[in-house]
Amino acid sequence: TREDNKLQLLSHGREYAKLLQQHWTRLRPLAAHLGVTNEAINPSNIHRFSFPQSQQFRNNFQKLVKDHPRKAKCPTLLKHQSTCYAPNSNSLFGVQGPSLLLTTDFLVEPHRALEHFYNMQRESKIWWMRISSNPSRYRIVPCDLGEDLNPKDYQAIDIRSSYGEAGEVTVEQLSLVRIADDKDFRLPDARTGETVQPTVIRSVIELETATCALLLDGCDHSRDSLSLLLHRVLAPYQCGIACVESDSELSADLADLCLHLKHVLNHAGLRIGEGIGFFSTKDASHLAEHLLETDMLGIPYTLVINGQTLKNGLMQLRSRDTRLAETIHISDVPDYLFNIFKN
Amino acid sequence: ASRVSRDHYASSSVKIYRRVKPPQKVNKPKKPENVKDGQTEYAENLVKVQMISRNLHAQLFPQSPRSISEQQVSSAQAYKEELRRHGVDIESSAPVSDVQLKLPPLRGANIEEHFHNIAKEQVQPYEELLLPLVQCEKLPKRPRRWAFFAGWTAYDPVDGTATPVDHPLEKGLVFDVEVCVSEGQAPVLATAVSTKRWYSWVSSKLTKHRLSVEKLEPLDVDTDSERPHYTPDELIPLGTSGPGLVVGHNVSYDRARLKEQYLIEDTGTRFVDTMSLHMCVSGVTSYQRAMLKSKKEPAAEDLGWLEQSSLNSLVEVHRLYCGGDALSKEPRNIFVEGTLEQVRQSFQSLTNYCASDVEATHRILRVLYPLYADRFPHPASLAGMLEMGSAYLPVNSNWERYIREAQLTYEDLSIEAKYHLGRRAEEACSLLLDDQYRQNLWLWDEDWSVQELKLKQPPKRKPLPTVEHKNAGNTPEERRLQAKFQHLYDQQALLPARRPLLPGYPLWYRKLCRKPPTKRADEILEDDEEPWFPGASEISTGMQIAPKLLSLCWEGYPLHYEREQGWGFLVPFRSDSEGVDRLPMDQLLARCPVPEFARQSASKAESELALDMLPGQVEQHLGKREHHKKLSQKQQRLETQYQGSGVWCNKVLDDCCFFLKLPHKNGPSFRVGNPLSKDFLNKFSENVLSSGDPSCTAAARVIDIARMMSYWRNNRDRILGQMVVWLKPQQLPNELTGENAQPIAYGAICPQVVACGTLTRRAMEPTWMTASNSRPDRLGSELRSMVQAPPGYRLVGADVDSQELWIASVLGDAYACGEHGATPLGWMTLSGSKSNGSDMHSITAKAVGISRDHAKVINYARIYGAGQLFAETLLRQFNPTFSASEAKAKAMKMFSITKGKRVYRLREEFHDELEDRAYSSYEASRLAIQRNRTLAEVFHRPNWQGGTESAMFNRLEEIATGSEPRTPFLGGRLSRALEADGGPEQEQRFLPTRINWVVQSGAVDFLHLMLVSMRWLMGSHVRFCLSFHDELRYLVKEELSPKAALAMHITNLMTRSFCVSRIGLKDLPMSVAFFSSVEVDTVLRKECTMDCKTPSNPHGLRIGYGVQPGQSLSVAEAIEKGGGNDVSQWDWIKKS
Repeated sequence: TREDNKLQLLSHGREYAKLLQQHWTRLRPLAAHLGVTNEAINPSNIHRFSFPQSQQFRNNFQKLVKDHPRKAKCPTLLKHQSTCYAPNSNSLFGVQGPSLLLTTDFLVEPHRALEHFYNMQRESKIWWMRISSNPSRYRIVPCDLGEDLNPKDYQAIDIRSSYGEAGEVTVEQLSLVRIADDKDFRLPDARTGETVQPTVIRSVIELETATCALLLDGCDHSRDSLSLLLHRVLAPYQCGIACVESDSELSADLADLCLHLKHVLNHAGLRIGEGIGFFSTKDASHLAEHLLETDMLGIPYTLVINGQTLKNGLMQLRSRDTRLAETIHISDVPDYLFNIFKN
Repeated sequence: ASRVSRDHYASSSVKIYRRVKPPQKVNKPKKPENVKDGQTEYAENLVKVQMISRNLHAQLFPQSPRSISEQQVSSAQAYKEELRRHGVDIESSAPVSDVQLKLPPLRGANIEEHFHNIAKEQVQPYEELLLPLVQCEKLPKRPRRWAFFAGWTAYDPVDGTATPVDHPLEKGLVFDVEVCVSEGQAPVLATAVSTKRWYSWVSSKLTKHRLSVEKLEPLDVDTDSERPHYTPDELIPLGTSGPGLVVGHNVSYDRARLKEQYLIEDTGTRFVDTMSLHMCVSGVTSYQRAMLKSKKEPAAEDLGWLEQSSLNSLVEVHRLYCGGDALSKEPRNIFVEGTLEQVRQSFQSLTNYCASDVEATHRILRVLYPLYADRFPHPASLAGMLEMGSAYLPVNSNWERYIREAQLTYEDLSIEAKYHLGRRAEEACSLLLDDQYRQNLWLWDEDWSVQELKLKQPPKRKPLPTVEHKNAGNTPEERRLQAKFQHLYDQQALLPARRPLLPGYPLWYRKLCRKPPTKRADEILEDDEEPWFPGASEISTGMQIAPKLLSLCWEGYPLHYEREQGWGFLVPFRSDSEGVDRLPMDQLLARCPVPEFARQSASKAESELALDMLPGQVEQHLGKREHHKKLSQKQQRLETQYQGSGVWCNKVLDDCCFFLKLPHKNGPSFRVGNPLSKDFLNKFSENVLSSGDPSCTAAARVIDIARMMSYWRNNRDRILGQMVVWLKPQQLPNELTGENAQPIAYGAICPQVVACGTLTRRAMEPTWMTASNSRPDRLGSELRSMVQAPPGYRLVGADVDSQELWIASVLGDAYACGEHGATPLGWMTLSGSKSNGSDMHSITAKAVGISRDHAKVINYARIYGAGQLFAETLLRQFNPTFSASEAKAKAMKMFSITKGKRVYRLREEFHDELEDRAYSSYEASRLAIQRNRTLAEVFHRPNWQGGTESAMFNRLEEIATGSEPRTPFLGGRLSRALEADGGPEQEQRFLPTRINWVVQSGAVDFLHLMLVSMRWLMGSHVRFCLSFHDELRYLVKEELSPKAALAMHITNLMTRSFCVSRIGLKDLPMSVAFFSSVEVDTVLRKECTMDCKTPSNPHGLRIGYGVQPGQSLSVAEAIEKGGGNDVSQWDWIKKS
């Protein structure tokens, strides 16, 4: 039934959604951020082109002119977030509402609107491709506008993520609307200074749906290992620490070293596991099991230390994706790891 | 073609005239009847080919009223018989509607005189400027000193006084431009000479040391600031009052730097290219070109033509025609490598250098032009060349957008491909665990060695330097731990100075990774090269590892790379893995069991191979040749049994499998360097090449991406290098700058067309004339559609349907029968149709049992002069499952059906001795040997007989083997380099080239005639854009576009009428009289409805660029839209 298909994010998933939301905030950095509104919105297809008439859009526009006078010219970007109580469902799953809508409005010169629209499609698609384990699953699907809408004034596409025969999920919707002559929505052209009636390109992402789509993407791969291939930048836990103690006398020192590494990584802004933050075992086979578990949690890297580390500072940096370990020195921590996660 | 029919060659003077009966209406209820003055317009000839409507015939062939002789009727029976024998049903063709047109009166008594006269009129103003230059024995004296003024300077011929002028005063010039390559493509200086005085031009960039060149910013798209943007102001003005004539060597290069050439209105300046003249007179084949370039001592048989030709550079051409001391090209290096400052410093000597090139060009012209005029006597040849040299491609800001989108899409796709490969590489890394890679069919022979990170021994006495920490921790606990492990940090000093990359990872993977930055990422400056990523960031589809990571197979066998042989694949011949060390034999056998052909040899092969290998191993010095021979005998056996397309190369791996090379398109001796390259991309769809890992969806995607990218990768540089000159608003017509005009930038490209660039005098240009049609899987292939007419203008043009085929077939028809469509090839060309399978390609396809498309390619190859062996190769290429013998049989069959068989006729002096009949080549050579004479002494040149195309080949060979071969239509002569008398051997050697020349050079005549006719019909109302392959396009004001379309149709009619008249036919079939359609469009594309969707234009032209489909006008539609069928009443025609 419909209800059985509903997904709900648990703590890791919510954490991932939060990171995705932050990542979205950093996309198109020149935008004016207009915060979060708690208005109920229903983003169904029928209303896809009617948003310029909404009060919320009107408010946003006034806020732009008032609070960001330097950005109030064409082209410009507005970002805001709002809550939606009836998220769209798709062939694969639904999301237990409410859902957070990430909206970007791009106000552009009307005569270049199409060009901006195509650019934005491309940029958005690339953004999804980059944070996915399989970039080839994304495609741009033009929406059927029907006869009564002039394609010069209205355009709409969905960015869909496909999971083979199982189905597709719309992760982002882009719509272009040429605003009918309205003196309340006028902006100067950044290039010529002339006042123009901007055309609006709106991008809408349902955060929870997108999160589920990306988590699915992480599992949908043809490898024999059960890894969750989350992008290293978005992984809720980026780095784990594991230690193998062969000699019980050393265990206190090893524990200290683990703790120390945890401090260092935390300082560098890297996200590491909850609780005491490290795993320790006396048995190498347990380590393998543990690593399998971290793979399934989508943790990209695990620092593996042992008794030798206490002597020479050398440790293993084990990767989820290659399942191999690289030898690094304690003095490489955290800069080397920082570089890995930076880009 | 029988001897009987030969007597009916149309020039035969005996003709009995009688009136033709009107066709019987009762039997042909389908035939359209447009009755005028009680007479139908419909006409057909003796083999039931519909001919042009009566009214047209009366206008075009006024001196040759239609008539049929008794003899013609009787020989028509023979033609019909022959047609039937080749499966042609002459009743099968459907009639087309007749056309009523009132053409402007012919200029002359007949169509031949007409073309001569109009061409003469068109070239006259230019000849008047050209001939004084040709006849000028002594140029004015060069000035002693060149003036360093921006713009043009004129020099008094007597005292050399320098006077600034706006542009040269005379209209006939020899001209040369110099460009400082490091500063872009704009000209820096130029010199010109007329019969009166010298001129020099200097760029203001050169004279003004610190010139703030005005930045052009009207472009409404974000332009790529890396690429230069040109304005007309940087270019050289010649004035707008035409006609003018400029002579230069490779003059299109100079033309592209002339200001007025970019204006939408043509200024009437035309260009004579000494390089093109040279190609016409002394052009060479590609083989000869290679010979000319080679440093080797030429063979004796090459000496003849070597004296008659040269490479195309000014130096070489000058040496050929003028002799004397070689021109010095040394100063040129400053232009190629130097800076503007260096040019400035050597201004006098460089301008002198430029002027000496002008003088050299003039000397060449003086010798070369008379040669040209003599060999190409028809004025349409020169008229056509002048027109071809004035190509013009209007563009707008969509050009910039196109380039940007193509570049971005290219980058996106390459990132995507790289990403997939990177993922596959990461995955493959885990094969290192437990040495699993040994079982991997693709990666077993990679280098899996691993490095370790080791610390150096600590110094005995000195303590290690302390590593400082910026932040030792926020809490006491953190600080305590930091202090506790400080000694470990201090051991940093013991790390090796050169840190190994990724210790713990296999070597092949490490090679794909970059060294991480030593600094923290947030400390790295923005412009510090590319950001670093972990993983296989350096991987690309061009690497040797890529096909392995994608687990590619050929015909189901895993690919493998051997240094000497390149890429190939492994075929097992043993069904056990005993004693096989490295190669994962069990896996290989599990995937592909020993195939039948290898199995048969395997039982023997094992012992045989052991024997074969033994001497090799034991005694390295043993006669290598013998060893090879043994293997190759065995191979021969295998080869006959193996049905695939791999190439045997004498290689056995690990005594358990054969290594077969991938087939290279240039032949079996070449090694394949990359199975993901262009030539193999199509093999993927045929399942010849595929991924051996069904779960590897990445392979299919990477291959798709490679396919999409290859066009752009190969053409990108040329496209980015196009010199686009953006016009300023004041240089545009008023309609484009008015109140309601779109804020769009307009510009133009003057494509650097060499008007006659090949032996066959076809025009050459590297970007536009080779541009591919747009295809959904070719990034950037919408190129041509980015040539867009400005608002208020249209691009009008058409594609001459199967032009070369018609030329070839009509030559055969005229020669053998004097009747259109009387040879099987002729009939199929004129009346055959694809839809009912009666066209040439369908018929050959059916007869041989291959697809129509494949038959088409081979048919053309044959007409271009390719032989049976080539057809065999093509057949195998199209269908790798054909065995060699199968392909050979098919090619043989095809040739006997089409070309027919070669027969020999005795020379008269042997008629007493031997029976006068047709001899096969075998018989003929035997008889000749018996008589101890050469074939040519006993027999006439052989003829083709019995094939659909025999007549055509006989005619083509007759023309091609003449002592002075001339094109059939305009009487232009073959290049001296191929004409050079070298005896029968020489003749045979260049025969395919000469045959090809007859047809292709005939097609060039055809094009030149069309250009002349269009100019006659439309005057200055059309501007020539471009012609490539069989396409011709003009730029026309929108309101005149239907008239231009009609003029195109009429041009086709008149040009073909001229051509057939020249070869003795005084009538024209209706099916070829008009274009099937003329496109009236806003952009340059093959068909006006093509939306040109490509990866870089995913929405298509209509949605993505707002380009609406154009119109495609048949002749009837063109008449209707163009204001009726009385063309003689067009304003400009009435006036003239």
